[in-house]
Amino acid sequence: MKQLIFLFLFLILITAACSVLTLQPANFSWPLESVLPVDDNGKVTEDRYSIEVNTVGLFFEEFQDSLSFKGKEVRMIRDNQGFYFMTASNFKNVYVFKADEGKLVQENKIFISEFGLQTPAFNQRDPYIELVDGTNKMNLTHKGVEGGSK
Amino acid sequence: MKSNYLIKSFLLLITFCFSISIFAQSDREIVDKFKAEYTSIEKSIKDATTLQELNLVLDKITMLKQEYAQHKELLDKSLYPDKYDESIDKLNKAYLLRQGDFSTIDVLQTEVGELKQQVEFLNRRNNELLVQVQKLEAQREKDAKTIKKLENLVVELRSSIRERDELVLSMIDSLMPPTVRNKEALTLEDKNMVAAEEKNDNVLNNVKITIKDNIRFIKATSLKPNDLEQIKDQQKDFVTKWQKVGVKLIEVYAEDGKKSEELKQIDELFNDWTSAVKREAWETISDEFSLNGIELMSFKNGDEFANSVEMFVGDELKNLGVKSDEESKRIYAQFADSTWFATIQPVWINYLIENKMLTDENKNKMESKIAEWKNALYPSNWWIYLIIALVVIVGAGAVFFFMKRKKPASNVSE
Repeated sequence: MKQLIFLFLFLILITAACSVLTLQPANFSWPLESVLPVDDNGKVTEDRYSIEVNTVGLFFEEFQDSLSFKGKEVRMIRDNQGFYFMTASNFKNVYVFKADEGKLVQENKIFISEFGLQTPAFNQRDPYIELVDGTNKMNLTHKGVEGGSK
Repeated sequence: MKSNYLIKSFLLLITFCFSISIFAQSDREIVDKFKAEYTSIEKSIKDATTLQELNLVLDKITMLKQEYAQHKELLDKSLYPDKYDESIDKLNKAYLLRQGDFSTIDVLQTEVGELKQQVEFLNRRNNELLVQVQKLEAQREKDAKTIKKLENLVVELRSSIRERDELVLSMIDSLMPPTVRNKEALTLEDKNMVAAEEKNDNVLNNVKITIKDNIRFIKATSLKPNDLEQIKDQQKDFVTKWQKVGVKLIEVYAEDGKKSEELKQIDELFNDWTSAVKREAWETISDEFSLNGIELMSFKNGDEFANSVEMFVGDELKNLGVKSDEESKRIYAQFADSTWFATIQPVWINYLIENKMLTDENKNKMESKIAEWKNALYPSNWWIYLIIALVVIVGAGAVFFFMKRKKPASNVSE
């Protein structure tokens, strides 16, 4: 009996020590996309949300060219779950990232068009991110196109 | 095979999705457009130079409000730190504030118009008075009637100039409202607002005329220390006011290429005015001597004045044996009794010392020189009186002695 009591107390202690404080629900969505010019070092800075990130890897991934970021601007928005969506003109894909310690880690790469986006823009349409290109639009989540296979 | 199927179905999906809507608009585009229109209206409010121009802006605000009412939710989320309603409120407030400016401008314009007329009238009047004063000054030695007339004219002219100066200062006040005056630098809209009140450079001309007339007045008249004190106070007022708003007035009214030249001209006139006041004291003192026939070497500061007096007295002392005694005494009387002790010492010396134009040392040197001159002309005869006194004492003693010696003889005879 004593042993059972000790085991019970031990389990309580272990459970208490392992539990993580969680605040929910949380909504990370940006009401509006940010259009961020890429500087000479490939860095973009968003003052309103205090985020700064190097996009050289993003452009290399898209164009296979480490200098393709020059003179470009990146469109960025965050959905309610906290995923960052990034794309730019002539990109064939929308990139989805999640924040990690001092970095953005790719969560998904959503293929959009073989011909590349001409004038892409993101709109916040909670719970989706709406991608607009010219007269066309589609809803995205971090998993892919809404209702799509990605 | 399977991957081909997947690609095909994906492309179909995209086509389907893209064809849902014929028209798609970016939220950012809406927000940016709103911001651009907001900024444009804000600028129109600031740049409006008339009430009519401003009234057109009111319609723009109403249209902006109506056009974007459907995007209120988006704008509320996206405009940072303001929201849609606050932004429209801000524009309305800016409009009302600017409307207030125009009301102030209307009042000030009327004020300035009236002041301008008065200043022009006084400018003409002062000019006429100055000419009359100059004419009479030329014949000042003629008779007492002329002197009286001249004095009256000078009083009239002084008060008229003072009146005009005050009007010009009021005009400057009206042209540069305190809110604008206290700003470090004028913005374009401030300049427009001020310039709208006065289209030409009359204000700068009036400032120049005012200073020039004051200089002319000083040159045309012989002033006493009290008058100079008043002029100095008046000058101080004017300079203080000019220092506060002068640069800004020039920024608004002077032509682009002539700004620094205008500023330099007015600064020089102020310097001339200050020098004229200083010079006036020395010139009036010199005139006082001249009126009594004493021609001193010209002087324009305390040291030179003291040297001039010492030199004159020194020359007179040297000439004591050469000139007749009567002539020397006449010159002394003119110098000392009619000028130095009659006017210079009671009227001017304190003013000069108080205004640091003359040192105590200079004053003492001059006074001792004049005393020396007097002693040379009228030597003191104290030693004669001493001898007379001694003779009287000795005589009295002798009489007393003899009388005392006679007394015992009479006793013996008894």
